[in-house]
Amino acid sequence: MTNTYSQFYWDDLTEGQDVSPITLPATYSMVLLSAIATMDFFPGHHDPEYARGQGQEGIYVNTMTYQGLVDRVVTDWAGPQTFIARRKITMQRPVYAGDTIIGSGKVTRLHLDGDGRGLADLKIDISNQNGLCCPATVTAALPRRVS
Amino acid sequence: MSKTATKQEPNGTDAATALMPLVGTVEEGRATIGKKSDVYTAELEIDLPMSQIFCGHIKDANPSFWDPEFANEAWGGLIAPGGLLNTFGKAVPWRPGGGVQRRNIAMDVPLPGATTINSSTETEFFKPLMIGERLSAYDEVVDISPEKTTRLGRGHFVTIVCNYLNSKGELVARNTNSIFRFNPHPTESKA
Repeated sequence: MTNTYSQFYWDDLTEGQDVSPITLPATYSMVLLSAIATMDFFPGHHDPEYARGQGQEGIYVNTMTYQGLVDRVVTDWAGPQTFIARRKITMQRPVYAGDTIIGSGKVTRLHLDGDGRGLADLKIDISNQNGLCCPATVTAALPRRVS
Repeated sequence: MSKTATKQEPNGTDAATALMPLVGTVEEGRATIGKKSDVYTAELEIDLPMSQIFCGHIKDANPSFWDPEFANEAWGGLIAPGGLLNTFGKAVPWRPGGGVQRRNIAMDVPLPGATTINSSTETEFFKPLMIGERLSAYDEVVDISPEKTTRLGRGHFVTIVCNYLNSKGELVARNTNSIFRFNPHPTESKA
């Protein structure tokens, strides 16, 4: 690969290693764009009155935005040749319009699959300024120096 | 325009209406466990502008989504973010004459809960989402939990598995989704 994008190789990772954090404002525009970009017109993501009727404080980002954020945390840190092989997210508390999003993580386990593919299990947390909103676990496949 | 023609509102079911769940009893809901949807072929191809709009909303600069030269070398072409998997299984939100909305099968499980929130989602990817590919998908209802009470209200967790295939019939991804179908806690009287 002749590109200039930085990339971690599986062989260079260590268990317990931190994943570089990201921050992003969840503006009203961003929350509305999350509904539009994903064609997710469930009203909790664009109708404040409906969201408050659900017991929420206001409109909140959708599932696909969390998925995109989790993947972004992984690939911003590990590099763009990283393949997200599995990702599980649990939505514990919403990120509302007006919040600040923080993404962070850690390498929990390094292993090989049956084909010799280098896999990293990662714990990724999507939080807002008040704490954890969406914990995630990811299995990512990274290139190996020697396979 | 004739009077008859003006009465034929061609609006059909819009996307928001298609997202409202079917209300029924728990017994009716449990009878749907094991139910599979028909295989549905998405109207939308995995599309570069939609991919880049999605990337823009979370400021994802991954060159797999932006740099054709890099993406071609790494993946055989530009790809879309995995977060768009569900979107690229959808119908367009509206079309003249009333389009066919692909309802999430979780909305067709009769349960007392009149509103929903997504609880957890696990996705396995077997192949990247190649730009220009068109996905097909089918859903299966796999579980309905006993009644649970959460911060938001009382209801049931519905687990749905969705398999996504490419045009060659190869499995691209499998999504397991847990959705809380609930009724909100009664609000306190302000009197």
